[in-house]
Amino acid sequence: MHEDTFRQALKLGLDGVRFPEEGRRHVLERIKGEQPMKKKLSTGLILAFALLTLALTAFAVSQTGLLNYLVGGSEKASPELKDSLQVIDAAAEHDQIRLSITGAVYDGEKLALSWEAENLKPENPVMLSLASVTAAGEPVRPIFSSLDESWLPLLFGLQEEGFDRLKASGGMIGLMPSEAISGQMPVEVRLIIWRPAGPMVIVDEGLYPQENDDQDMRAYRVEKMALAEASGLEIAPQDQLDPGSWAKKGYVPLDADGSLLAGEAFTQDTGALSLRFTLDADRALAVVHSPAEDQQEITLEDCTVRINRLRLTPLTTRVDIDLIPHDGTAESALILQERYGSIIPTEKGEKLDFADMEFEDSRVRREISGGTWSYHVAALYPGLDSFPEEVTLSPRFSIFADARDEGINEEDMRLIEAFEKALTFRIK
Amino acid sequence: MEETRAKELDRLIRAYGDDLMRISFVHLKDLHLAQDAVQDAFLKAFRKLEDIKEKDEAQKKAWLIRITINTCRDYRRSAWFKRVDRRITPEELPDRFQPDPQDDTDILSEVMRLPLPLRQVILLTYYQDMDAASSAQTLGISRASYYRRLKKAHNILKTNAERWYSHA
Repeated sequence: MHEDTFRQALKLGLDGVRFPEEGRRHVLERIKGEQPMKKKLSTGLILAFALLTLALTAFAVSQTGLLNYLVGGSEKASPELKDSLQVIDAAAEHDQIRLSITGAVYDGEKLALSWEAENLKPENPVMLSLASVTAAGEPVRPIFSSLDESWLPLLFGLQEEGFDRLKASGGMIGLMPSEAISGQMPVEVRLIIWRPAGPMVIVDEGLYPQENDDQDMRAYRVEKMALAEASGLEIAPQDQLDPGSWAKKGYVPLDADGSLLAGEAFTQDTGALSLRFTLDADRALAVVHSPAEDQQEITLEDCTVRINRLRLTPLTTRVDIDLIPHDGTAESALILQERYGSIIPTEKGEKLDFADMEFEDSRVRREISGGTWSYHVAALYPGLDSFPEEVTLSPRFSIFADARDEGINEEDMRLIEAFEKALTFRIK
Repeated sequence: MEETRAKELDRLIRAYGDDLMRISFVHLKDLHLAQDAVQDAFLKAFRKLEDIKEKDEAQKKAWLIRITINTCRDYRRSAWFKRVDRRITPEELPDRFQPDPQDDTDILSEVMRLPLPLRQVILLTYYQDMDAASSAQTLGISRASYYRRLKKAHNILKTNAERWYSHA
């Protein structure tokens, strides 16, 4: 690809990301002291809080495992989830690091694993990264993973009482690459073990007070400094905050979050830790819920809705549909995209929480056959605790559909209401 | 005086808000979080507007980018952010969900998958059209580090996206 083409593509790709008018207003109101800044609770933030809660819950109980990772304890797990859980007892050791896989759930769409990792020589901290997970020889794409450039023993971050810094436990939820697999499914987990090439030093200007810090910021910096000191590592003084200078002296500079500041200072010589085990794939597929077969295509006033996939499992709620305009043109597909925005399922009359969404691909018009275009919607949520008899698909605003900021016109509203009414699926 | 500063801040928001939002998004991979970070960055900038009133427009922009990057770094340091694996972007989907090969979000997905230090140099170089010296200064790294990162990013993108190069 030519550089200019790449440059252009990058600019086009980011074109939909804009600082909104409300953001400008909030800033200007804040500097006038008229009202406090509104913080949006983002999708990632809500998910992160949920995961953090789960993680803390997991620390508090003696038994760690996949149900702790997924739902915060076995008492909170649905019968379907418990049924699909497979206890795994696989362990491997490499370069003083021991990895154990304790449990797995596979539902045909996702693979969830729980693990424990231990540094057998804690005086030598290592950084662990999940290198890859493969199932039946194909790569699994992590959606969430608690092993991502994690220090072991834990050097930074939360210092919960009773938390073992030498052992890390957690899990991963990943997307399977292909259609559902049946029978025995071999799984391989690979971790990369990074060992620092020299003594580590925390180089971070954020640890020190800055001019104009308010009370909150001062408290934040004090807390951050306390966590940095708890790591036992050397901390660069305020007048020596150039990571390059430390690297030249043979140090490995990190920021106060444990992120590497000079990549060349690390080695990867200790290689990867690999662990293999086998899952019974058939066991998970028994708990898949999907629409009745006679509901695969529904004709509406402005389009035909083709159901490619609508599946409910303990791990996954997945929608994958095409909205095909009657004239099949790309222009009409764009109108559908503007009209329907995001589309999410409603369970038992209650909408699934938008914040739970793991990913959505609702910006894509695609050519489904020669000259016929559709507005394609694919969305993935966590699994449901209980399974409804009916699921309704409901349109929601798309964050990229700027036109929606002006409100929905009456014609669109009528079509949207008809859409919701028509797209109610019986679940078998 | 206060009104003048407010007007200047409003001008900077209108001029660079979108650019900073994109930088923030590339760092944080979350639109709402990115918006919060840009708002915070503008508030920090407001408190120091006096420091830059003599600077030219390009320097002001670079200064704002630096503040935004630092704000994003602070956001990334917080404990809850670490709990989420953000290597997967909303655009990164399994093969059966892959968007049209000519969809520009595909290229963005590849860039978003790069490690943060490499994403930063790609964004400043190809999105902000900044030269090596300005990029290095904005990121607080040496020019040699900048070139090393850029080369590394090129190599990864080349490996991951052979199909783009084949279109050249």
